[in-house]
Amino acid sequence: MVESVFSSFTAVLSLHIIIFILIGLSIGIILGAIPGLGAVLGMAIVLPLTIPLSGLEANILLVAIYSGALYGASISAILLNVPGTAAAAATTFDGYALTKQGKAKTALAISAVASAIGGGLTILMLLLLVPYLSRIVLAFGAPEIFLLSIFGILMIGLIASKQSLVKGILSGALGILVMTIGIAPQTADVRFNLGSLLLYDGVNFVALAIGMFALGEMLRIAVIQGELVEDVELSGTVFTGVREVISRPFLTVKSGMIGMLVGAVPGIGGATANFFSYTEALRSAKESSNFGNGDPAGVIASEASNNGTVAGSLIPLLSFGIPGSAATAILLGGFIMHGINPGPEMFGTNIEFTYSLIFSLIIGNVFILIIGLVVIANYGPLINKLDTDLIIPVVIVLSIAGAYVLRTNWADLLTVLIFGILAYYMNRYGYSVIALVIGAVLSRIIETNLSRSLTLSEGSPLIFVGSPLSISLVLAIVVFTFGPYLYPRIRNQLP
Amino acid sequence: MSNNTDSSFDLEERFLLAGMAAFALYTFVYSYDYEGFVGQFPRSLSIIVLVCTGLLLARNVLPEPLKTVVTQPPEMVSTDTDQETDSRMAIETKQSIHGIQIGRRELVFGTTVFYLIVSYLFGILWATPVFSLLYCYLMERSRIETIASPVLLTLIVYVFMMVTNTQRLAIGVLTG
Repeated sequence: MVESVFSSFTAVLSLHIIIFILIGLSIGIILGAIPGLGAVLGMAIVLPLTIPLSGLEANILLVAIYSGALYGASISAILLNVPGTAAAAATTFDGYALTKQGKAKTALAISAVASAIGGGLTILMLLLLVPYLSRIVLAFGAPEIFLLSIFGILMIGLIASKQSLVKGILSGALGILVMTIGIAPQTADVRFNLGSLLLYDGVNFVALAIGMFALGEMLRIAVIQGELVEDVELSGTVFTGVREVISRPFLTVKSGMIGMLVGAVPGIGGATANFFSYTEALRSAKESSNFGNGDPAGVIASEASNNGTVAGSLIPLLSFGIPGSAATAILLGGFIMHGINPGPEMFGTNIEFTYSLIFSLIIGNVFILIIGLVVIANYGPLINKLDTDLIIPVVIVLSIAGAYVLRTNWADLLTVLIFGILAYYMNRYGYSVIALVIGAVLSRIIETNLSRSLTLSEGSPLIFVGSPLSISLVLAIVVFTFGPYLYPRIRNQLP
Repeated sequence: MSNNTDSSFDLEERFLLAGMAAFALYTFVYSYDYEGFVGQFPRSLSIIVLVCTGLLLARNVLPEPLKTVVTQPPEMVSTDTDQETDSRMAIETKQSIHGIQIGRRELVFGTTVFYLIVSYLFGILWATPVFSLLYCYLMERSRIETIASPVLLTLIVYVFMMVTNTQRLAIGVLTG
């Protein structure tokens, strides 16, 4: 094991990997800082470009975008009171208040240091957890993996569908159904291809993700005309920001750990983590009256936690191949595209890949600190001056060219168009786009493990309640599906 | 974001649900072409999709307890998607093109479809500058941007072609 750790660490320190980390972070920070864009869009359009790269290089690039975007989201939250993504929503409370007090540089420095410490420490924690994760993974057989996949989709569908459980279930089921087009995993049967060779291999997941996250997003932000912001004066000092974080080590570590725990639960990502952490910081503060009025603790709590979610979200992804968010669904797409199978292999034959990915995130957090303090604290507002009218054609061209190079199949361009339109209308009417994408990426895992389970039990569904672990998962599915409806009724009937 | 109360069940949403139901119906019917689990799996999923779309389409006439489950949000925490949507500025703006008012979204959609058609016919590499020129013209960008954008975007596709070694980016059905 020590040998694997050492060789992974030296592999990540090679110059070309460092360059990939820097490129990924830069893309992530820029896209994260622009309200309406974010990690998912960046990862989706970069994914086809990773075809010539090795699995390690490609996925290091993707996780760097993911990590960079979570930090980048704080820039517009602090400078404009508009979070780049929802993961930085709580940063606006005190971050923007600091900007209004003439301490924008200080707030940006707090964000950079808190993000780097929160992200870095939780990744170190993940590194320590790896040997134990392998034991947990081995306890999961086909029925448990099937149930865990269903649980993941239900959680995401339930939480992300803003208007009803039925919409969440519909989105997830539709995602799974779409991916049944093409060759069935168990046999050579070609399903629902309309007799066309173009659909022989089915719908390409990457093209679907590009359509839903890139074209769909462009249709949505098309209504925004011109630059996103007005000029922001950068004042305050970087040194004060660094000191504010260092003087609150317990808060920073606690917030990072909250982020990690919340991030490990499918469906609950940075958006929830930053509010959880902010609320906890407020609750435990000796002096809470300044929260919301520019208290550095508010920025630390939010930023350390949202970067902590990266480590958390990698746990179900590496262990079971269950993505907990849209970004990790794209990352799973990257794994699959490069022939990397999450699960026990990640802690066995692919252990060096796992360690390398973790080390790249640790190095990435060091770069976040440097970029944040040196570049963003001084030139951050320039990112927000990018014009949406000019971003849209770049994203569309990258999406179309990217989708085509996947298989040089024109059907993939139609996939982008159809799912782009679908994503736009699903968002408009409160259907979960993320549940559909996660359903799509998990479709094969669900079908294969369901088929395997039923073969093992000779068709008996009792296999899904055949072990304490599977019973727990069934109970979790039932509680999380019906609990939100039954709990208020039970609560009302209590004296 | 539309507010889906009973009275505002949008026609567009009905079309969305009808489209999903039509796809599910197709997979349900044709799943009988496949024996055993290969047919049963998509059939079960299509039934779930059909039931869900049916419930959502009929939500205005459902009995009260069922209607609550179909139309009311569960009491859960908010997530990334909620606020990703909410934090965006969603004010419909129209672009004036030679005096004609066109929605910016329709403009982006129209130029994208045009780009796809020209790409299919002549190849993505050659369609890119045409798309870019048209886009900049319709968005009334400055002359410098209208000239620079096609050059930059074509260069991006060219680099894409070289990096991925996909010469077919320069070939369409009419030029192949």
